[in-house]
Amino acid sequence: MTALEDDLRAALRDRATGDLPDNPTRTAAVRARIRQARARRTAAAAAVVVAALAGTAAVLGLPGRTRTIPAAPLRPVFDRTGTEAHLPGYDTLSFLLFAENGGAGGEMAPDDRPYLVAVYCPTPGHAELTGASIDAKAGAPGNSARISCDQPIPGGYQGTLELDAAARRALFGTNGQVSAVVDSKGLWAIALLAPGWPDWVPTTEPILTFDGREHPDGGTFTGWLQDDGSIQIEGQCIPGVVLSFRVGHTDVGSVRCTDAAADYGVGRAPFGAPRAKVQITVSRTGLDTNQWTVLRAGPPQP
Amino acid sequence: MADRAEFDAFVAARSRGLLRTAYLLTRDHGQAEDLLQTALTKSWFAWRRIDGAPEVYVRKVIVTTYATWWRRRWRGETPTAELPDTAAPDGTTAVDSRDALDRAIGRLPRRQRAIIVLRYYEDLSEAEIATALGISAGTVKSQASRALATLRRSADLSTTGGDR
Repeated sequence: MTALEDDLRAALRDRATGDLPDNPTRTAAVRARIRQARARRTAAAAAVVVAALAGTAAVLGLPGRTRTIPAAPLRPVFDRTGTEAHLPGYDTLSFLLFAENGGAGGEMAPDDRPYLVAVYCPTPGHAELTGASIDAKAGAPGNSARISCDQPIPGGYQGTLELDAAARRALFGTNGQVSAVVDSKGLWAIALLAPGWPDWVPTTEPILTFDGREHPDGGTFTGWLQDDGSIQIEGQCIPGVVLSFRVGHTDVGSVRCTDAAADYGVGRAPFGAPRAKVQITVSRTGLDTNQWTVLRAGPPQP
Repeated sequence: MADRAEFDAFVAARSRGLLRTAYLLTRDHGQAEDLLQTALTKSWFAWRRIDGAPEVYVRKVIVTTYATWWRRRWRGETPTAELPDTAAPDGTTAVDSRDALDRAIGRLPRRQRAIIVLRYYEDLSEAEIATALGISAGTVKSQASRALATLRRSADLSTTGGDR
């Protein structure tokens, strides 16, 4: 046991046991969510607005569909209850029960990775997805795609639809929404998945400082030194990428990404003024790819 | 009906503890409550099929929901509640170092933060964390190691000392 681990336990305990008011209406609130789910389940044949998913009539005919996505039939994407979606090698970007979360915000990956749309249904049926994108440049309102949910899996059935980047954009635009109509009873679920690390860097992180997907060979970005004048840079990359960082003529470190983890960290002992704003140059060597990012470089800008 | 009574009793009795886990993950009371209610709702539809302690199942749903579906909502956002203080801590007291550590935890990537919470708050083993997150034990180990290294080298923690 280290001092750090001891402090860690104490810090977590302090936060968890701090002033965290309980919600006396939680049971009722959860009941309300369940009732809402059931009510919508009984009306499953009606259109249900679903966000963050794309499909299009043109999907199946678009050229250049990636082979990154394994050919159907896939292994089961959903658990036995249809309330969790997980596929090894993929990030689950969105997971929506038809009976809840209607109108939730969507997300587009900032790269050209393919997507996999998977639907779960308790009884076999079809889902008709219709694009409702308001993005005039890329979206195509009115496009639709039909997914057959008829592959038996434990606890129900599933269906899948591959979308390459062009197909995804065609339906989603950059912020598109989709309405879904299903023709069998039960609580459906839709999951949007994208192939993930080690072939692709994770799709989303809350703080992104510099994106290799926009600057494959590297570039310069703004960061900050720490309180003691040291520097810490964190990000993600796929195996084979080598990233080298410098501030001016000062090398601050390099990293060779391996199979061990998507995340990397580079640091250097104090060499500048505390909390100084610095220009950091990163260059990418090794694997020729744009699949790397810098998530953080110093304190967040106030 | 018996299921419902049992579920409601579980929510009443156990959800406050689960809220704390959700709060350690999200670091926001409102988001923690939303995450918890979402996980409880999902768990209800699997209630009859849960094999073992429901709390373990619900906690797993909390963590996996946090690590996947949740991320889209936070994309591109910098949680303002987590901005470090503009004044550097003097590092002379345990409170200073613990606050600094708390802030550093808040800057960890989500999966690393989840692993840290499960390991050092929930006291789960690497194997149990791997099961909860749906990843390999090796990944848990490497991610935990990386998280600890990040926390250790954090400038905020420069005064907390190293291994005992």
